[in-house]
Amino acid sequence: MSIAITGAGLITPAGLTLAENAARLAAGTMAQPDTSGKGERFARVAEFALEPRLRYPKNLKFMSRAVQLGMMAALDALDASGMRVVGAPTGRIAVHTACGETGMENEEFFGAYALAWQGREADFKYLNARAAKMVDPYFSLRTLTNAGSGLIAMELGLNGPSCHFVHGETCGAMALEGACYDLLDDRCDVALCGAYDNLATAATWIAYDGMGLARPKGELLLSEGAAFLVLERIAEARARGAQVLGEIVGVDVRSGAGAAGCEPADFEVGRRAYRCVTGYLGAATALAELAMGLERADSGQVGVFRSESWCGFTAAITVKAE
Amino acid sequence: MQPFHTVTTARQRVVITGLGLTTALGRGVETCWPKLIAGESGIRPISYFDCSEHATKVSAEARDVPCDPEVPGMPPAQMRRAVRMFSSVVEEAWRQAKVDPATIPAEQVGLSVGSSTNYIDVRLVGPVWEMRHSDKQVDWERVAASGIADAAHFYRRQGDMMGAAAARLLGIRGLMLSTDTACAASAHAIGLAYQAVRRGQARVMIAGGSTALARPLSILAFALLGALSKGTTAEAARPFDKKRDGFVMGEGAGAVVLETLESALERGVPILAEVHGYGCTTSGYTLTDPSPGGRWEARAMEMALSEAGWRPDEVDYVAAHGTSTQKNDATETQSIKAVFGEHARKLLVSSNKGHIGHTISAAGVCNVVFTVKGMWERVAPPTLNLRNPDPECDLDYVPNVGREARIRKALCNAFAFGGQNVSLALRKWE
Repeated sequence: MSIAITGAGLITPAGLTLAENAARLAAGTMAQPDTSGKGERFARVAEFALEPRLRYPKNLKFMSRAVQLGMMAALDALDASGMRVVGAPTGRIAVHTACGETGMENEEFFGAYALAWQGREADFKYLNARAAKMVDPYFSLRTLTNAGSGLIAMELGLNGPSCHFVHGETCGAMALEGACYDLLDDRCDVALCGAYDNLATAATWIAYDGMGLARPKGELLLSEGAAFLVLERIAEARARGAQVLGEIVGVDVRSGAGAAGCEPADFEVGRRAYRCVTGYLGAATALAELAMGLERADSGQVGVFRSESWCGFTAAITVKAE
Repeated sequence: MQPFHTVTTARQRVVITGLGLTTALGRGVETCWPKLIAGESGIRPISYFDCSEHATKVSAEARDVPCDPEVPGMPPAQMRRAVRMFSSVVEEAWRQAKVDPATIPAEQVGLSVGSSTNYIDVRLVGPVWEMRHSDKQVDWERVAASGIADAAHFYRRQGDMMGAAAARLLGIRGLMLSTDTACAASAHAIGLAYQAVRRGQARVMIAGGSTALARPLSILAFALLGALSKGTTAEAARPFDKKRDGFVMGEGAGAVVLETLESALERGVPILAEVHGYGCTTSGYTLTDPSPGGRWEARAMEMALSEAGWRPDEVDYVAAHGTSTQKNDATETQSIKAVFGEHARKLLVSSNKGHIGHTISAAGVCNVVFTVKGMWERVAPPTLNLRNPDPECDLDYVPNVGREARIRKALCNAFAFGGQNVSLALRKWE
């Protein structure tokens, strides 16, 4: 038994769709950093319209920037797969997501700080819920790390197995592994899996700057983006006439650099070039590279997409292109 | 890497051979357990900050957190509080399981961690606030020049530090999984570890979670949702009581060592329990409310029972999520009734949130550890502060006093904000 990829969605500073990303990468076009008076610190995704695509647009207020990017990529992946989830057995569709530098950000709390601390000392005793509620009653939900998987499930009406992984750059591979094994163990019939990240924030930049990693002191151009895949057991995908983009051969995440899996990398699609085009996406990187690799690969090529986290973990995803 | 085409339907039996725990009741399973059964509460006035202007007055803070867990190559300053707590519980579980690195290759030992990575370094909050422009955007140049963020800050905020610290401490080189599904995170971590051992991806997995959210920004965020109790005493958390008004934020960490039955027998270590099933769903309803009628919470329990091959009437005990919120406790009761039918009236059901608060990402592993202890000590843990019966919560919750009971088969529940529901099926090893 093996796992088929039948849909992919990708949104990065290099493009709002998988096709746009592929075109920018082929052309070697750099992402455009935000230069609006603050230096070239970030690569940002161009403006996009999510609200018109939502079945429940009122949920937009619960979505952080990273989750919005994830929702765009998830909807694109599902559209590309030709899968119709409405009317399907919702308990048999899994949702596995991942993110890295996402969750609480100081700016989310600035409204609360302003009400609590304006004109007096920055003491936590003033930072009560009453002050925060006058600013934005929804910000605390936007800080839920696993809100993305919940919101995607709500939007699409999904009730199957679900998990959210947070593990630096390797977490996208964990989400993929969870989804694959749910399919292999017959716990679901379809799995939507992906990663989203937004590193273009003050709190993230402060942390990376402190290590001398982020621009302008360092070389990393902090970025944002998301990648999602639709997975099915290959026999069932073929039976419904779906286009199979690729076949996942194996996924592994291990403690210790270099511990994870095999080496052949026939279509690694110029990892460095990819990073130059999209910036540093963190958690979404491995899946984004995978989606790009599929878009550019020749039939039968086998590729390994690796990611390594700052704390010493290594992930590998092996894929065969159709 | 195990290529998927080699995955077979052969499944290993998975047993628990080690436990570790830190809660507001103390450090170590043998410290926490007698206090749990004696009905002691770890809920006290918040000590971390002045809460005089807050509606939330109490929390269940862990009071014995190691300052320096002596993790090789990892300075203590790089480890946030939750990471330090987790390091202590994995050591405890590891000692009990007597895993000998000389006999089990490091590559066959894996880790599965449930964490709450929503983290802001509170030491930076004031300075960052001071270094803002009038439009409330951060003044980048001042921040960069100030040097307030260093390497320790960078690593404290990394989502994989909990796994990294445990891996270095124990010399683990195998499979790594790290979940963050809020209140279900450590239950997910145990469920995923169980699956990995069951299908042969690892011989041994250490799984659990840790949380340290009894801090001002976390309390602010949860208070804003109306989820926290406004009580001012140790009785603020009162699961299934009619007067319950929210949960009390708890701190804690727990870990279990899972391994194949074959491995445990070969090593000759005491086996504590067997994991028989894992159920997992998403409600797809709202971010904070249970699913209507508890349908998808019930489905998670049914999945665990189905995987275990158990009839509902074989189950003796349910370690409830039981947060002490109006909606959770009533809906969990509904879901238990839906799964167990008439047998629900004979079940023992209890929640430890009245003792240790809601330990969020450690809540699932706390349920598992206390359930395994209950199996061996032949005691069903009590639900504290349950004095006012609620017609919507009409099961046997073992109110206030632990009860002698023979627990052979049990379910452990964990349901999350965000909609993820997890249930684990455990059987006493006999």
